[in-house]
Parts: sequence; C-alpha cells; structure tokens
Amino acid sequence: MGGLVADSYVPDVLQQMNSRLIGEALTEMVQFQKEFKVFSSQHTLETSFKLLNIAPVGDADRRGFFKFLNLLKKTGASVDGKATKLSGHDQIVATLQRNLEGSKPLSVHFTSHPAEQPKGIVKVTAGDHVFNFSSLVFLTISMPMINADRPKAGARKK
Amino acid sequence: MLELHAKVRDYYSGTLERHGPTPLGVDWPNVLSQYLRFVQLVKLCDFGRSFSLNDFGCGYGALLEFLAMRHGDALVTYRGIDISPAMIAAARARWAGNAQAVFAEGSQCGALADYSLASGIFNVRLGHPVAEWEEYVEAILADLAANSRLGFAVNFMLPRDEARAEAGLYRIAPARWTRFCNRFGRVETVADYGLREFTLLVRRTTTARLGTGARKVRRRSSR
Repeated sequence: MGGLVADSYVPDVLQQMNSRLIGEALTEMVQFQKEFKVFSSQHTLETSFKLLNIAPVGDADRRGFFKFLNLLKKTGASVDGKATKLSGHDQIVATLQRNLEGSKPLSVHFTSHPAEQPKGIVKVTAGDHVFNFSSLVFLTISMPMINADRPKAGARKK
Repeated sequence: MLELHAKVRDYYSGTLERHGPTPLGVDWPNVLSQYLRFVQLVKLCDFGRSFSLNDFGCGYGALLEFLAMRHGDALVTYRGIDISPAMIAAARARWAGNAQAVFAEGSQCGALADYSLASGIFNVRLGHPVAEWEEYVEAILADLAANSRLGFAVNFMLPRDEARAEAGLYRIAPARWTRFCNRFGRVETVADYGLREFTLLVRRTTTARLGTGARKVRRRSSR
C-alpha cells in the first residue's frame, strides 16, 4: 500500500478483507448489509472497514490503511475492462453494495496490481476462478499500489 | 457454581484488559456482529411504550449504543449487570452522563424489569463439562424469567455441520432450550439471520408468571 502500511502487513489486511467476504462470513455480510447498509454512498470505505474491524494492528499502519482507502477517491475505476465514471473508492463501495444486495452474492477477492499499469485504476472483474484448488467464482477487486521504495515524483525529476 | 462464576468473571475481565471497551473486549469480532444480535434480541420489546430493561452480561454497555442508534426515541430505563467488576467500571465510565442507565456487578439480575436481554453469555463454557454448563444456563434462564415482567431474550450458538465442536465453546440445537423455556412463557425461536446461532424470545404469559416453573428451577439450581 505504497509505504502507507508496512509491507509485511499488507497481505494480512488483504486477507482480513477477503475472509470477510467468503463462505460463512459472506452470509453474515449479506445480513449486515441488509440491516445496516454497511456499503453504501452514505459511508466511506474507512467507516465500513472500521465497523468490520478490518485494519492492520498498529496505530501507524491503521492510519496508513485508512489514508490509502481515502486516496482511492482520486483514482479511476474499471469494471470488466471498461472505464466507469466512479472513483476507485466509490466503485468499490458500489460493487460491494450491488454484490451483497444481489440474489446470488459472489465471494470477493481483494488483490493489488502495480499502480502504473494502468495508473491509479481500481479494476473490478466478475466471474474469476481465483484459486486453482477451488471451483468458487469470485468478484475480484484489484487496487492500485505503488512500490514503497519507488522514488517520489519530485525526486524522480532530479 | 462459584468456581464457574469466578472463571467467567476472570475470562471477561481478561478480554477487556486486552482489548479495552470495544467489541473485541467483550469477545465479539466486530460491532456489526454485536448489533446484528441486538436486532434479534430487541424484537421482544415493544418500542411503542416506555419500558425498563435488564441487560444481563452487559459488558461495557454496547446495547445502549445500539438503542441510541436504532431506537433513539425510545424511553428505556436501563440496568446493566455484569459479573466482571472491570466491565462494570468501564460501563460506568462510558455512560456516566446517561441518567437512564445504571450498572450493577453480579451474577444475577438483582432487580425486576419489563424485559431482560442477554447476548452471548452462554457461548464460552471455559472447559466446563456440558452438564455443568447447562446447569449454569438453567440457573441464569430461571433468574431472567423471575426478573422479567414481560419477557426475556437470549441467544445460543448453533452446532457446526462438522461433527467436532471447538473446545471450550457451547453449541446446541434450539430444541433443548426451547423446551426448557416453555415453562416461562411463549417461546419464539429466531434463526437464519446470517449468524450460526439462534435467539429465543420468551414472552411471559399470565399463567407462566403465576405458575411455579421459575421457582422450581431456582430451587433446583441453587443446590
């Protein structure tokens, strides 16, 4: 998450997100959505994930994670390869809302891709078989991340 | 029974010490999971009129947060009871400004209210044999019945499909406790709300209130 969260905690926080949206936990999430509208335009992702207790453990990493989620408001988004008008942040909210309120909610797989390819786009794809050991069909949400060690833009110009 | 009470008290004082007055501090994974249980439990209550409420095993008083969020206009006189002195201290600190809320340390309700609710208090049996734990559950249910004018509500975890249960947790199908609670009033079982558990809503009936069921259980459990 681009140096906002320590590298060693990024897989863990992605795992927290993924394990909330698969199997028995997905059934819970459907009810959370029904009762509390966890994902809706009324709540930011920061609020939703705080309610779900999804975040790295340490204070600095928690702050970094929530900053990362808020930075997604400045990125674009695509669904099944087509650009949408929503920001990456709002696309994630809308995607999760639609999925959880749909008749057959899919398990969700959060992952990441280098922000440069393409730059700053949240990519949503449906119907993926994420695991070769499983026949489960996933909704994949890939978030753009940069290498924490990448020189900052200003530094690169020098 | 005293040893069991001491273990329960120490367990929840420990969770509070580790996680503070948060859902994790009362052994719930997140606030929504806690609130979804409250949604089921308060189906017992008539929010069209004011009422008094015992919140047995209240922890830091999360039910008050939920009531403010979901039933902000309701007039509820709240009494939170918890076996852990640390929980009660945390609850008193958190709700010091709420004149309608009082907290008491104890292993029984200790006062009559219109309704009594208890969320998640039967789930962790802390290594006690099932028979001993069920005797403990019976005693609590009898106490809830005796201290509830209109009814009480509790929840239990359902068994998993896999045969092996987790060590230390208490999981049970509804029939055992539906049958037991029938002596206290009309029992409604709420299930299929997304969590692997069920909620019993027990509405006191005149016959049950006047009957001896609760008193019999209380005598038996106090031996």
